[in-house]
Amino acid sequence: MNDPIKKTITVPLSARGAFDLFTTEMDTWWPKASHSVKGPKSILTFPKHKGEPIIETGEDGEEAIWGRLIAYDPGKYLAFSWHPGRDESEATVVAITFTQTSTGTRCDLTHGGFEILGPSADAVSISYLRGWDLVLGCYAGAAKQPAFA
Amino acid sequence: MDYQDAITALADPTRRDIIDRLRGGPLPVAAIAADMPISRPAVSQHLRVLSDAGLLTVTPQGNRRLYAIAPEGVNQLRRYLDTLWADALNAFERAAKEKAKGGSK
Repeated sequence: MNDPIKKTITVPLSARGAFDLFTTEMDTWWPKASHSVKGPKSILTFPKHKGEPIIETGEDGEEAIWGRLIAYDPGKYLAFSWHPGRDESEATVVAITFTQTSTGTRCDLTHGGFEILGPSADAVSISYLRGWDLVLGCYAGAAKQPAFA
Repeated sequence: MDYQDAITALADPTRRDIIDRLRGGPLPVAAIAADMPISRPAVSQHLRVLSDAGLLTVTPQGNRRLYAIAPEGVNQLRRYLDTLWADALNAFERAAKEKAKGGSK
């Protein structure tokens, strides 16, 4: 039950094109009307350096931090913490790999806890993250008990 | 929304402790509160927050109420996140097709 959420999509762009669209051009396509803290007219700013925040700036100039870059390998791999509307201590983790194919680029998105980053994860940068367990693990583990079958 | 309520509810360590105590099966408030370092009214308050967030079910039994983990609660969380990424990636795909056509900004 607390397995990560996985999504795959193939887009007709080069890996670098898909990566740039997802990151620096995120503001042009993200469904802010339904999925944002500050509403449809806010602006999303996606960072390029590890540790920097993904920022949503509302019409009133107020900022909401959605997460922070954990890994940024243009055209290949992207990972960031994720806590829109929540405290950073409740962050989960999103990781995306970009793989060039004959028809475009396959984007594999995984949303879960820091374990999805694998053994190469930088423990220092993610040590505060416990969100996925908090969101799903603790609860799901409890809900799985046969008493509730 | 349900997802936000549930995360907020589970962010509190006492409430996670309560969920832990209910792993073995439904319990009345007296059993849940036993040896907890907070008052029974405080436990009741936490139970209400968990119930309101859709994480617990409450079943009257005689003159007491039994609290149990709502299996549906976690599904709400997963559904919310699943919908979020489905929506976002659909929008991403549309933008990618526009960009491929040279129609992007």
